[in-house]
Amino acid sequence: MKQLRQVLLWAVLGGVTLLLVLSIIGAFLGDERARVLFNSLPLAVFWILLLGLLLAGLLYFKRLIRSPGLLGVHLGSLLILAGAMYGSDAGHALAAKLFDSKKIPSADMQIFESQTENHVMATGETHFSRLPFSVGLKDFWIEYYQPWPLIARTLTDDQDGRKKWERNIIHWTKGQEVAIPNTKIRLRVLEYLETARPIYAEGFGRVLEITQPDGKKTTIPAQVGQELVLEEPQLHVRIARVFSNLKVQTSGEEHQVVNVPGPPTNPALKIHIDLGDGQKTHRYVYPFRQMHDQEEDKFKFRYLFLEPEGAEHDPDSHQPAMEILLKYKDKEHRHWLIVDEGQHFANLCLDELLDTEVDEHEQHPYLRLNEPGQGEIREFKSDLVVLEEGQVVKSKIIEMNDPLHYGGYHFYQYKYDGRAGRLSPYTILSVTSDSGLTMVWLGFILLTGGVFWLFWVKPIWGYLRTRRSDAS
Amino acid sequence: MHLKFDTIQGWLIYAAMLGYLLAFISSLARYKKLRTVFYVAGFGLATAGFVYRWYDAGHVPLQNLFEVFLCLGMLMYPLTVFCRRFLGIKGETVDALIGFIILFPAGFVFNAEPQRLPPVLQSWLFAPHVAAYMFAYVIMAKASVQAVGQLLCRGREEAGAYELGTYRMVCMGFPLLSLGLILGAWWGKIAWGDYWNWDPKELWSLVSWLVYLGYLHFRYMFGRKHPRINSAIAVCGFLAIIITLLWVNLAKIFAGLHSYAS
Repeated sequence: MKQLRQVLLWAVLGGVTLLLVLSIIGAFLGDERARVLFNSLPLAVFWILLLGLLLAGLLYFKRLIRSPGLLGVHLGSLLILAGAMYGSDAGHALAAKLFDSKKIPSADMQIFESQTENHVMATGETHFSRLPFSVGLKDFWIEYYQPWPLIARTLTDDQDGRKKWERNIIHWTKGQEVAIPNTKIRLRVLEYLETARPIYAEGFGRVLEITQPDGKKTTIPAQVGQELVLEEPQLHVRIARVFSNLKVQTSGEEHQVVNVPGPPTNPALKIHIDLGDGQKTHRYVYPFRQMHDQEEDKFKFRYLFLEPEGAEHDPDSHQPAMEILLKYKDKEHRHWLIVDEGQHFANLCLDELLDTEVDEHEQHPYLRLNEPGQGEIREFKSDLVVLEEGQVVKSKIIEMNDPLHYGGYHFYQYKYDGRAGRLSPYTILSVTSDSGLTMVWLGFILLTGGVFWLFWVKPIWGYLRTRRSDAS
Repeated sequence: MHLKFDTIQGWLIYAAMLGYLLAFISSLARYKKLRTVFYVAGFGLATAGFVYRWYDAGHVPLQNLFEVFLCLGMLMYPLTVFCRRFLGIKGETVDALIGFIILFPAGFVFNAEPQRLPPVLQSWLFAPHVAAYMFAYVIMAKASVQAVGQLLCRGREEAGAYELGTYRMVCMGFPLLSLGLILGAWWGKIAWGDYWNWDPKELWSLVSWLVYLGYLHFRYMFGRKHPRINSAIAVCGFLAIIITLLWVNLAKIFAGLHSYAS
């Protein structure tokens, strides 16, 4: 028995040394190649032997059972190892063979805003797999450490006395007056709303403008179902669909008009027109061009974005707004800088105030409320819902260090469209199986508790007892 | 090279370094009381530097190497006092010198510009994970000093004291080293999706943990029969810690998930 124990102890030293050498090699390989190395077949044999060694230790060294500290450390290590093996790719593959388990060890999942998804791309695979439930993305947004910065673009003289454009960041504080560089304009921020929505005089900011043959203009709110009926000349127009981003998808001979999620780069309205002469048509109208207007048309239609009057706090928005007061000579001007949905900034042209002459490139001086850079990001968040058979069974706003747990998987905030930034139309979640995790957690607790018991609690307890007996 | 003569932060570090250096010199010259005065002053100034940094950065200052070294420099004095009082381990002279050496990179090498915490570091596990390691590292530093003392010492009795000192220090530091590793794994699961990512820094911290694990098993097997091997293993453990702490952060060949700490 003594000899067996000696052999076991030497085996432990050998195992520790081998793992140590492999870890050094792994550190030089980098994480991806190290993962492959430590999950390879020879290493699987090594892990099983190590597991056997721990078991043998518990069987043949009574001390490991009698001492709570030693028991915790060794049993904890055993559980961590067993849990990790169970949760590994090989563990999942084995569970699939033995128990017909369909669990995916790890995967990525891309979800667009306002959509649900149950397809995931398993790590190392080239085809999609399905989860037994769906995950929906209500919203994705980014939060910043600081309020948005103000940038002024103004004209200055270079070393040779020539005019050149310069961009300066204005360090503003609410209520305090600051100068706009290269101008005599003084600026004061009156209000800053981190999440805001614009307010319009008529209650809505987007309208369908209808111009009659005599030039008379009428507007109706740009909402589905809104309609206008005229008697002379006869017209019945109805808004059938509102697009934030209209795209035409072509599949063979067929063309399909769809609303693509993402930044609203191509807003449009689909309208049905009835002129009372038996002709019923439909048409797409846009805010920035009238390419579909034709000369022979009696009526002209436009999708108009009205100027807001101001802004108010809206917790559901991720767009900021700022009210500023500009002082120039004796004049004072109040303005709202409101970042429109889907935009990275809001501009105020300073032409009128400065009476600047536009240069040959037709550039203008401006003040811009600008989205902060990457370094200012405090958090990215995704508002998720889990659906089973169409019913919401769980919802959570996830962020880094706070994943969603459902159905044996953890869902992590992982990536988004870096170029679109906070306007990213989608989020990419990292999906990880929780197999073996309980064993690992229990192992962590036992190992930590055991090692502290052994080296801290026991000696301190002994020290206190000795002092007490010395005192008595 | 980042000199900090234009900031309060810098001056606090330089003054603390001076305190430690004077404590070391006084100790060599056998002025024990003066040594204590300078050592306490150095500790007070290092603590002031750490608190100032906390206030200035707006978060627990354990994010980058500047903050880590400042923290390590601050912890030397309490460790010295604890070891003398409860473990019977001396070594004030060397401890003061270690304090000076640890503060040197904070004062002269690393950038002290406060940084905002990126999303991944915004976790309550951030402070305990790094703090556990910091405590473990200074304890293991002292353990390796004891081990080197044992290796260099000629007297049998003194060598025995150094060997025992090494063992006691390793016993004190090992639970903290384990806690740091396990808290890191727990945090890794919450932040990255896996408690073990085979990242170079993770692997080097495992290496240092394994060396001390080997040390404890070897000492259990042979006791004090091979004191020089015991000491050599303890020194190797500390070398692995230095690699974990510095090389991984500074060398590009090891770039991995922990690279933000550079």
